[in-house]
Amino acid sequence: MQAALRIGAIYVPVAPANPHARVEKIIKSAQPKLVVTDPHDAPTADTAPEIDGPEPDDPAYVLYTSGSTGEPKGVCVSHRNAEAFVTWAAEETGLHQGDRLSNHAPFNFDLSVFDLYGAFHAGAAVDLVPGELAYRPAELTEFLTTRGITVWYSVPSALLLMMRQGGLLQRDNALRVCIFAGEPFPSDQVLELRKAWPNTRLFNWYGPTETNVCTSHEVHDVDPSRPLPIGTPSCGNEVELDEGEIVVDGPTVMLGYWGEQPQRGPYRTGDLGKLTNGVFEYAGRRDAMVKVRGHRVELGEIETALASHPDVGAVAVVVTGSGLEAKLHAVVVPRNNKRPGLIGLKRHCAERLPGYMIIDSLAVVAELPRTANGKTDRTALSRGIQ
Amino acid sequence: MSDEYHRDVLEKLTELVRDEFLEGEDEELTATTPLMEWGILKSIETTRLVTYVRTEFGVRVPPAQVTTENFRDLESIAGLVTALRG
Repeated sequence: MQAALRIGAIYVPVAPANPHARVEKIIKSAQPKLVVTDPHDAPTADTAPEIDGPEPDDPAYVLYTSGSTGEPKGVCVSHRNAEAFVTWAAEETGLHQGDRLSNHAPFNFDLSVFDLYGAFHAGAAVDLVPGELAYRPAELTEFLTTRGITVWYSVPSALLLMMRQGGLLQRDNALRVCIFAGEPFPSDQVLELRKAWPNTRLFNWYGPTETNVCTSHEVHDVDPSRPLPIGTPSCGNEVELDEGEIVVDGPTVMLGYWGEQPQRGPYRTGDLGKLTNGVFEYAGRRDAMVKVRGHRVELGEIETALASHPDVGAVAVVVTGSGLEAKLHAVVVPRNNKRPGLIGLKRHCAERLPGYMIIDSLAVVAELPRTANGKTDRTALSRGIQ
Repeated sequence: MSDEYHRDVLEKLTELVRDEFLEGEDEELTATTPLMEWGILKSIETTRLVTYVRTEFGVRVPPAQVTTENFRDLESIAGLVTALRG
């Protein structure tokens, strides 16, 4: 990847865990000149790459994300985009030569950009987490603690897994900085982390792949009754709300989607936000705004309410049926060994939300389905219920 | 006599709410669980319950009697049905 950047080539990371059909689609879209892969299925190449010094606004890499249509979309990130982020991030977290970063996210997920290029930028070390360990709580905890990791960056799901099943909070560690991004982190669980690690700097970063990290919140005090803020604009970006939607303009906004017209002007994230005293809160996806029996319902708001219940570890709410038959269905992973009940959760909703946002049904599961990037797989959840 | 009828209505209504509206869960369901306040009876469930009362007990609940007060909990619904039986 370093080599590709230096010779002005563009790389497109593809996780081997992706379904074959998706990889085919990405290959069709990206038209790669060269494929780099594991030795056992390496193709033979007989042409040398063209060497061409890159300009700041040349594409550096393309990251494929899931479009709402189901077609993967290639987000083109320029050298300038990546540098603006990495420079800001290294300064924000005070990265230095003595640091040891880990890399939990797969290379096709933009969390890895910080781990790799942040480390290169600061002259620090980066310890790659073997892919098969990514969601094995005990081994992952072992990795984090025994490798002397000082800067950890992952989705909250991975941290929660280590906290709940890996005994993370009971182990000594060398962490100086812990960053999470990619999905909401229930605030009462962040509070637990805050209390367990009083000397570790905690950051909640926000930004779709299209903008990289565009807001950042350093966690000091946590109000468990409120969602964890996503903070204030980062990397020199301007962030605004337009009819509740988070809109970003600035140095980390992508060049555009591969094979489509360049991005011009501000990028509309499709995420909803709230602004209180200059600090942003994430309020769910615009398209997760659903109509249930005539009411506009934000599923993320119900999830935030349920996540504050003492017996709820992780939760996703989906809509089943439509029209008069539409129902709010909660899929819950118990926090401890106590199984939460439907009446108790309904009551919990009733004390926090309007009546039409009270859940109708409940499934208690051992874990939520995850996408290849480690986020909750909502599509799989809806499919499983219909 | 009326006491026995009331008990029978309460028992059957409890079964209905538990089996049809709460996926069979009854750990916390009592005669005074606030059904409307906690969203156990939303509009569809309320309509179903009124239909059930008519077919099961032969008691017609006039729309004007379908109030948050009368449908607050199982106890008050059973009381309403007993009173309406006349």
